[in-house]
Amino acid sequence: MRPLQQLSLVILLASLASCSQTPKKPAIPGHPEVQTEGRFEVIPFVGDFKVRRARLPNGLTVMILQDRSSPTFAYQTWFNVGSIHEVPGKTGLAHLFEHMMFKGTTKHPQGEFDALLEEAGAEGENAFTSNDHTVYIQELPKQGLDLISSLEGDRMVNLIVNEQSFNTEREVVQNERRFRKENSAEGTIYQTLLETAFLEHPYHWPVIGYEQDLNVMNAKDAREFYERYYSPDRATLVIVGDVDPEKALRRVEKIYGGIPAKRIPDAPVKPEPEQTAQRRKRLELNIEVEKIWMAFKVPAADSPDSPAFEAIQGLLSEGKNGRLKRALVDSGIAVSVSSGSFTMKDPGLFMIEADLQKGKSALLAETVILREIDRLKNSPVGAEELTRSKNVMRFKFLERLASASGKANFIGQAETSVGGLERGIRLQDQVYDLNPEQVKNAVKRYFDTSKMTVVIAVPKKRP
Amino acid sequence: MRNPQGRIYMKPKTILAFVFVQVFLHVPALAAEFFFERDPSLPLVYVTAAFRGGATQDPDQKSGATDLMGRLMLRGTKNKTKSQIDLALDQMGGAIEFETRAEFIAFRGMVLSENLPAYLSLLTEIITTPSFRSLELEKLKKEQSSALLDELNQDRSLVKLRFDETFFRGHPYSKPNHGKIKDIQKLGVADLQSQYQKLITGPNLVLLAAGDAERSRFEEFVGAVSRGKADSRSIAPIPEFEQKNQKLRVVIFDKPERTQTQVLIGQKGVSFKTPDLDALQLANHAFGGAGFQARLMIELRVKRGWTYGAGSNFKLGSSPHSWKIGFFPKNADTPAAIQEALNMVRDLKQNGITEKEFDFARKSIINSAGFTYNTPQRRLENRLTEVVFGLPEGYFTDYADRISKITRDQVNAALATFLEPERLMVGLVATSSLSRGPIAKILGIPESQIEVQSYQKE
Repeated sequence: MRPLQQLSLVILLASLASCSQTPKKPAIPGHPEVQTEGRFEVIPFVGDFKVRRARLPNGLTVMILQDRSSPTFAYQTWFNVGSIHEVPGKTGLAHLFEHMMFKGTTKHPQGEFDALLEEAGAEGENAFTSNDHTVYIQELPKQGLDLISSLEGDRMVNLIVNEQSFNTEREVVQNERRFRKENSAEGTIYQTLLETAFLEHPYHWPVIGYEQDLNVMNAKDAREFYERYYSPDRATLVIVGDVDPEKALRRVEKIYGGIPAKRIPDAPVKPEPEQTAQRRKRLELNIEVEKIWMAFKVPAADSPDSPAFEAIQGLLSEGKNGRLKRALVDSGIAVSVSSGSFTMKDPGLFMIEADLQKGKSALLAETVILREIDRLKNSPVGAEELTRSKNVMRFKFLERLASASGKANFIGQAETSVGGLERGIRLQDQVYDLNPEQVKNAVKRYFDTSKMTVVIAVPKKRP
Repeated sequence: MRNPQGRIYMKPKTILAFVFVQVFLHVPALAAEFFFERDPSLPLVYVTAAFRGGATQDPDQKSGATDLMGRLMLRGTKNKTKSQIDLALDQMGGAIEFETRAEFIAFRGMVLSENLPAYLSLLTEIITTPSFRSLELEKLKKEQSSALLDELNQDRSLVKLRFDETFFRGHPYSKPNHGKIKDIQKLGVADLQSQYQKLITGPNLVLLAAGDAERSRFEEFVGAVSRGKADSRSIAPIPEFEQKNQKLRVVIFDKPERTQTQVLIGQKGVSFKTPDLDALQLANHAFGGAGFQARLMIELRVKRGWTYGAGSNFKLGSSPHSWKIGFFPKNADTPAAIQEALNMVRDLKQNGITEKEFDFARKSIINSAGFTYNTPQRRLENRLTEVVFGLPEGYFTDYADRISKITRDQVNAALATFLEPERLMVGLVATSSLSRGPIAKILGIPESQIEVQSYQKE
């Protein structure tokens, strides 16, 4: 999944009162006070919503948000395992294993998991693997809690991985890789960018893996992966929707409570050495217009500087008035431009991406982008523009929470990546408290053009 | 990601077992139609101003006129430049985007509820007093042409585009929503103004709003947008497409260095008004619906690993559009996958779906129906479809109920009548030099019978 979102059809621009010098604060708690309520810790969330958190003795974390606006609920299981846990030669194993989780268990033969859920009216039954996590997602009508909890609890511990189903699924994944990478210009560029920016750290290799690595994996690799990484102490269960928190927790305890913890520590991850020079790649691809992707190293998602990157994204590319929108799109150089943080558990990247207009050069776009970055470094952003930027990002955040699955996604991400939901909320809120000097300092500190990574793709010459 | 299907192959589903407050307020006194649903959960208001008539109303050789018209309307009014509109939207915390579909267009947006009056005032200005400046049009044409060129990189959307252009050649459904580059180059301000006069009329307007607001806020807006507009609904009806090929047609949209092919197999479909539509939708759910229990998914992916995604769907309109199967195997598996899919269609026509498949599909549709109706925006979007295509109010909310009354015999009789396996068209984005021979061989047809055209050819 690409970290940079394509320009949305409906871009939410936010200025809660941008004409005013004292804009309204959005309705999320600034510093959530965690309270205890029975077995739950209660964390104030957006508006009147509260998230209830409980931890089972086997290490399973349970997050429940009651929202009765629709008679449905989202059910997500976040496992603390991703491509970061792979080793060279076995790249893509975390993602391939994600596919294997839909095969049979000792209780349910192959195909029954899907059949039971589809028959019950499940929507959006899926999963995704990232560099840090693997997440299993469903939405169901409200009466489906017993079903989904029993199925998810079952496959956490009773999965059967046989050679035949593994080999078939490997072919499926190879086709997914062809689709997302080999036959996709954006996929190829993105992969090249990560391979170039990271030389030692596992973020170097693609989540979907390399063709040759996938070809040599077998069912035994998958079984060992399951044994090592799938256990309640590595899982966070997020339930959002029309559920009663107490009843839901009792159900979760009944299903998951007997699954033993494994508490196997992670192997140390090779750290990425500091990038000391600019790195550049030029690709010739079957494309019609030039493309440029640029990346700057940024700290991990839990860094106190993370809020600044949100504001910088807003300033550069969000809304109708983002600086790069004006300088690249309105000026007739590019078709589109976007930016955003690839913020992960370990230090990641801030990326800027532009698709050029026909006949326009990516090098020209690079010059414009660097000029705008220089402006941010050298001149403090005006208060009104910064307010616009922060409100844009805050508004996007609120829109993300409009659905049950969106709320579950934020809760899962925050709980597993930045040291807890309350810290995730606090980081979001800090975007709102930034001043121009802090933004300028963040750009100066992290947007060092002598240490950036640039990938330019140009149309391949044809006979 | 394990399942690529959900967002790709749409299946219309509605609600039966879900209960919610639903308030549609209709304003019959006005020429325009207005639907509103109050939802105070977030301080936001969603607004859609849709007009009947879409890309199918583009004049011949002037594809893209409707789309450019709408986009240019957002780039200047009599009193505001593009920059001023953009800034105003940013300042009020709002957004407006323009969307072109085959049979309607829509200005879609959202605003903080406290700024709704200013937002509606701006939207009124955009709709009633566009400036259509020629300088802005020239900039827009360059931007749009480059965006269309860039879109050729996406093999999956490319095969859909080229399939419809080829299959419906000469028919309004062949016109791409965003136009062809060669047509866009020739469009002038007069062409766009002509489309404006034709489409932006009071009777064509359907206004939908949901969110944290009162209905009364919109009354003035509806009147202002309708005022002074032509009192006509001059939308040309879509003639029924006549499929000409009497035998299997194979077309390769030739693109270099593909290691994987994007395959679509399709035939003329049905319209919203087709009596057998519900039965056919149920059959499609069993054959190629989004889930992993559908036949296509089981045969092409689960059993053989030939493709990451496989599914089928109906594209619906006021006139019969298309029914298509899609999948994307590697080059070496492409011929066998095509042959398997063709055989499956033949079998479906001859034998229909099984009792088990029928029961499963029916339960699945009924139980999941609520997800199509569980937000105000979705309910309003369904209402728009009902209005644009002349469907009775409640068409979507009644869908699950109608499905519950269908019998397997009805489904299989509908399939036997509808399917035309020998007249299917197979369209592929593939590298012809690698794929043409093996496909011809497995299908038992001469290579010359497989048409080849450049993926860039419009």
